Order: sequence, then C-alpha cells, then structure tokens
Amino acid sequence: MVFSSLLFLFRFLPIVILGYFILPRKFRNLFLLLFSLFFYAWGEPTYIALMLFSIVINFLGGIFVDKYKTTGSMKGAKTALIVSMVIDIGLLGVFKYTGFFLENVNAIMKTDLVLSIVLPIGISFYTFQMMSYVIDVYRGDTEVQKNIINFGCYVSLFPQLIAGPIVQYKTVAEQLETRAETADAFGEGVKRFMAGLSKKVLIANNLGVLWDTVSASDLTSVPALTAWLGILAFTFQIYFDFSGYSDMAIGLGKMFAFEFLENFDYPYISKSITEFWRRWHISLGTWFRDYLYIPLGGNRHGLLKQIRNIAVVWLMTGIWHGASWNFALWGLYFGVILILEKLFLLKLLKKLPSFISHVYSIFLFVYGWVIFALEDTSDILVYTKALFGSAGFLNRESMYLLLNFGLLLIIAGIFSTPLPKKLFAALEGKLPRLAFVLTVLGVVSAFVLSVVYITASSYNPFLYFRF
Amino acid sequence: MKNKILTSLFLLLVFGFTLLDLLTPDRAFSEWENRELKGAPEISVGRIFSGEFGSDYESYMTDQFALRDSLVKIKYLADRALLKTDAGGVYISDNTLFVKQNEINREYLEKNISAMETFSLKYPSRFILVPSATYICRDALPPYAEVMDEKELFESFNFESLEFINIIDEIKADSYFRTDHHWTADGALIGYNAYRRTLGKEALAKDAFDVSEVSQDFLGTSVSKSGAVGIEPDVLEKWERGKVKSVEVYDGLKTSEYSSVYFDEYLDKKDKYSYYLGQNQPLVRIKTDSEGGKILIFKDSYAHIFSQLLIEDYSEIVLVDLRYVRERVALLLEKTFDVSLEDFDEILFLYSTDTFTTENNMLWIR
Repeated sequence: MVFSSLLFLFRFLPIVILGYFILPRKFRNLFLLLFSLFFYAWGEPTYIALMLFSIVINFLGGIFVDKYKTTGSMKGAKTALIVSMVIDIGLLGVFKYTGFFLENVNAIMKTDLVLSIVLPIGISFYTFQMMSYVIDVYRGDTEVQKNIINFGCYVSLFPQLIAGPIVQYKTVAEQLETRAETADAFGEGVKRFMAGLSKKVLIANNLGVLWDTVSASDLTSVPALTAWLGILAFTFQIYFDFSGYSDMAIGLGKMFAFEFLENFDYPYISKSITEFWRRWHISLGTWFRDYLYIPLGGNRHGLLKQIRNIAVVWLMTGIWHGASWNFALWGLYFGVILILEKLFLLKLLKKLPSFISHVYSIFLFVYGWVIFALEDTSDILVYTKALFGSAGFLNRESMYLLLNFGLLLIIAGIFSTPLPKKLFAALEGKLPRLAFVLTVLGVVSAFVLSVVYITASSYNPFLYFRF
Repeated sequence: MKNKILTSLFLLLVFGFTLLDLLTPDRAFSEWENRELKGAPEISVGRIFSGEFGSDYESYMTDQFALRDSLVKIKYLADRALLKTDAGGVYISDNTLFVKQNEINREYLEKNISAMETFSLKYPSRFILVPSATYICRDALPPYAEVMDEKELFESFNFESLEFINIIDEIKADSYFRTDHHWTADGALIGYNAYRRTLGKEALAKDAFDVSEVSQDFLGTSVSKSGAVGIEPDVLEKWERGKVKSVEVYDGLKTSEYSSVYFDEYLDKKDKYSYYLGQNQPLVRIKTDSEGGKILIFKDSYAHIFSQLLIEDYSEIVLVDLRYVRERVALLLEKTFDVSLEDFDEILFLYSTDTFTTENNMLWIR
C-alpha cells in the first residue's frame, strides 16, 4: 500500500486511527504490528513470510548476542551477530541481486540463465534497520528487546516500512515502551503529513510527467533545452517524491507519538557535494557511516585507507539503490567527487564566492541524476551529449514543454529551498493569527487537491465503443 | 490549541470523505467518461494471495470514489492554473479544444491506399479525406503546440484509379465543432459541394436545407478526453432536404429499422454526436423518396453528419464502417441488404485523416 492512495487515506488510515486510540496502551504495539503487516501484505501477500522470518532471525540474533555477552562470551556474541548478519545480507543478496548477478554471468559466460525474482518491497530498508539493531546490541549501544511484539512493531511500523527513513533501533527503543500520544503531537504530525502528501502528489507526480515525456522520446534527437528540462524535472521529482515520503512517515509517526529522525535537510541548497550528502537521505548516510565506514577504519589510518573506505562505502551506497550497473556507477561518481573534495576541492570551494559553489554543486548533483535515472549505460552517454546540444539547442517541443511546465518547475525550485519556511516563520512571529489561518487553509486545500490529483490519475475516458 | 484545531480538521476530512464515500452508491456506468466503472471485486483466498484482489479493490475504489466527476474537474482547473495548455491529449485554446494528432502509421497508410486503388480499378471510386481541426486551426493552438503538416500528406497522394477530392484549402476553422473532433454540418457541406463539383453538379447553399437547432449543449469527445470545464457548448443542427423512407442498421448480429436518420434519444445523453445515425455500426442503409441513384460510402463517423445532406439526391445511401467489418464487404452486403457492389452508381471513401492514417481495415474491400 502507498500513502498517496485513496485506499490508504480513506480505508486504512481511519481504521488505524480509530482502533489505535480506542485500545488501551498495552495493546497498541500489537495493534500497530498487525496493521503494519496488513499494510505490507496488501501489495505483497507472499513476501510477508520473508519479512516475518527476518524479524524472528534478528530478534533471536539480539537475544543470543545479549545472552552470550552477559555470560562473558564475546566470541559467542560475535558468532550470533555474524550468523544474523549473514542471513540478512544473504536474503537481501538473493532477493535483490540474483537477477542482476545472472545477467552479468550470462554476459560473460554467454549462458542463458534466468531466474526472475520480484523484489520484495522495502527489503533494503527493513534489512538495514534490523542489522543496525543486532549490531548495536553487540556494541552495547542499545538494550536487547525481549518482547517480539515490540521488536516486530519497530521493524514493520507502516509509516517507515516501505521507503524509510531507515530508523535505527536505538533512536526509538524508549518510545516503543513508553510514549505519550497527545493532540499536540498529532497536530504536528498532521502538518507534516500534509506537507509530504502534497510534495508527492502535487509536485513529484506532475513533474514525473515531464520526465516521462522526455525520457520516452528518441534520446538521440532530444535538443539541449528539452534534455535539461527533463533532468531538472527528474531532479525535483525524486526530491519531492522521496522527501515527501519521509515527511509523511515522520508525520504519521508523530500522530502515534513516534519521533523519527529527519531524513532530508534541503539538499539542493548545498555548496558542495560533501554537504549535499549530509543533507540527502540522512538516515542512509548515517547508517553507512556507523556500520561500514567507521568499522572499516574511517579516517583514522591515513589518507590512502580513507580514500579506499570512501570508495567502498560509495560503491555500496550506489548498489543499495538498485541492482544495476548505473547505480554502481552513480555511487562511484559521488565517491570520486567526495574524494576530490576531501583532497583539495573543499578548501578551494570555501574561498570562491558562494554563487560559484552553488553552481558547481547543482551541476554535479543534477548530472548525477542522469546516471541514476537512465538504467541503460549507453543511454547515459547519449543523454549527456544531448545536454550539450548534440541534437541542437531547442525546438517547438522544448518551448512547449518550457511553457507548460515552467511554472511548476519554478514552484518546485522555490520549495526545495528553506525560503517558504523562513517567510512563514517570520509571518508567524509578526502576525500569528494570520499565519494560523493560512496553515488551516493550506492543510485543507493541500488535502483536497491531493485527493483530486489521486482520483484524477485514473481518469480514463473511453471514447469509441459500440456495445 | 492550534494543533487541536488542526487535528480535528484533519480527522474531519479523513473521516468525512470516508463516510461520504461509503454512503455513495456504486455506479455501473459513467456517462462523463463514457465507460463502465469497476464493480466490487470477487474475493477468494487465491485472489488475495496473488495480490489480484488488492489491486482490483483499489481500481474499484478509485472508480467509485465519491464526487469522482467533480474531483476530475477540479484537476482540470488546477492544471490550467499551472499554465498547462493541454489535458488528456487535447490542446486547450480560447474556448476551443483540439485533439492532438496521432502520428501517421506509414505502413497502414500504404496498405489503405493500395487497397483502395485496386478496388477502384474495378469499381471507380472517389475519396474525400477530412483534415483535422487541429491542422486547419493551427494558428489558434496554444503557443509552440506540435502540429503535423497534413497538407504535406494531402499533396503527397498520387492516385491513379481513385479520384481524390482535395478539400484542404476549402475547409475552414468554423467547419468543426469546438468541443468535439468532428466537422459540423457546415463543414460537411463544403465536402459535399466539392463532391458535387466532380459530378458536374452545382454547389448547394445552406438555405437549400431546412435547418433547425436540436441541441445547444453539446459537449463532445474533446471535452470528455480533457475533462475540460468552462467551455461553451456547441450547437447541434439538423439539416433536412428530402424525405427518408427507412433507415436500416446492421449491428453485426441483427438489422433494426428506423424511420429517421436522427436518433433523438442521444440528445439527452452526453454522446450527442450520435444524434446523427447513432453510434458506429458495420452497415447502414438509408432509403429515401428520391429518384436519384445509389451511393455506397466507406466511412468513419465523419460521414454520419454528412449523410443527411445527401437524402434528396440519392434513392439509397449505404454506409460501411470497415472498422467493424470482419468479412469481405461484397459478401456482407449481399447477405445483409441483398445488394452487390455493381448495383451502386457511385462509391465514395470518406475518412478523417486520423482514421485513415492510423487504422488498417481496408483489406475487407478486396
């Protein structure tokens, strides 16, 4: 199930809100667990078994790690940790990367092996969450969870189940046991959820139309203006889609008194790629830092090892996003830029006027999306040439797209900076009543317009029929 | 306090819409979208585990969602506010809608032309192609809208046996409905006069017909496709000249007889263009009181509004829609109306550019 559907908004959500707040405190985690499983099963009825299996394995992993630790056997604890991690990574490998692996084997060995496995929704997210838990128990960064309902509730919690943020167990451990739902927190959640829903439905989906139009055309004949419009549309689409999803997750979390950490912090205003990655998908960056980069030695063993570590982390980050070479390339692309920034670019950028560092960053992350969005590596090359005018600079279609999507692109641009938020905060300081009226109007119109766009996406008139 | 108000508001919206939706009865058919809406899906263990039930339920819910038609209209307005100049494959211009042209399918086009040429060797025929309003009104389209040059297509024809009647320079912007892709009776008369010219007959003026308005609120296919609101409706006129004896409509299974070429029942529906001869059917025969000859027309729906103009001039008008024919036309005519191709004094192919360049059903005329 996705948040931006009538099914979620007008069937699932009312039932969950009603049930959750009617039930006494002690049943609420169980209730959330059951409904989260239902939420997951709606799209993937069979893979629910896989997720339940993972939950049990990692729950037991935590128990055993803790048990060996308390009896003083670090070796036993380590074994338990390794076993659970091998299973986690093994399952992720099998379900996410088998097809990709076989494709490459086929290409090299000229074989014809096919095994089609549908990717289980959210597996990359929930696997990483559970791994963080067992590792943290091992490291002593968090207490073991002895109640499988609480643990299952943590893993499957529907707000963050499908697309993050990757919530580390230690950040919600306390909330699982004791949290206080209040109307105030619920109201904050409402604002956040509505912001996220409109980012996804009103901006991301509509700009997706532009990117779909451009990427579906013959790339060799796309003029530069069209190519730039297309990739800018994708740039905003992915940001508003993904950060909108995180906003909805955080907002829904708040309604049930969970506090998830922030996942995005206006990444597109960054002045370097290093800064960009501190602001983009923060929960993933943190995860790789805590559970891969630092264990590899981080920056503590000299420059050479640090460069190696950055390269490994970014290759992994790339592949985490999808089982295809373009994602590996995308990861390495950022790996190289980050290494260069570490070596000298960052110092240089600090000396330059901020205008130049903005242009530098915008160009690099926008170009990064070309690599990310086009799975076929030869398309990436063709698109790159198109961006620089290999098929001319503009034509009628470019102008048409510019006029039809220009306003939406400008709106998206403005809302990807903190400017609207700052202006609103200023208004709140001076005219709090007006600000509140605007908030109310904003929430209502965002709600209605989102429902309008969700419903209209299925508008499908049939014009020629006979019987 | 403020958050309490927001919370209540949100709950009101969520629960309000939910209740409204649950209380709204299901509809089987949407006249606005001109299609059947999904009904409640079948439930079974197998369908649940395959995920079929889940996805069917979502389509069902979306199709039946409360206020669906109104919500779709709000989307149109919101898109317009964002300066969009098209919707659902339709260009939106000042109070007029233009359906985007489909790309020409060269293979189909070649096949259609060669089938018609071969046919015309044996049964000399004429051919009128109706350009799209989108091309004719290209200056009225939104800025930079893509237009296919139909004149280039018209001038590329080089028929040997078939007599091509080129009307692209005569047809005008007001020859078309503003809310529908068809031509109006005025447009059809331009086509008919061009046809009469090739027969050596004089052109007819509008006042040769007994013209009367039959509907002032025709919102056609372009409105349905785009979901447009705030477009002034078109007027439908009936142009009478001569008397009809009978109209026989063969729908593929049976033949029904009517007394008029006008189907009044469609004036109360959304699909008002079907006032002219009803919906597309494989065969239609109009018998008249006239002394004139017999004409056979291979056609798409552009011929429906056209046929009324011919009544005084022909004793029999037979219309064949090849898109709904799945056997040789000669056989079908023989079987259904007991006529053969030789019985006709004139044969006309009457198509819109879109049907002619994107569909391939001509093989049945061999």
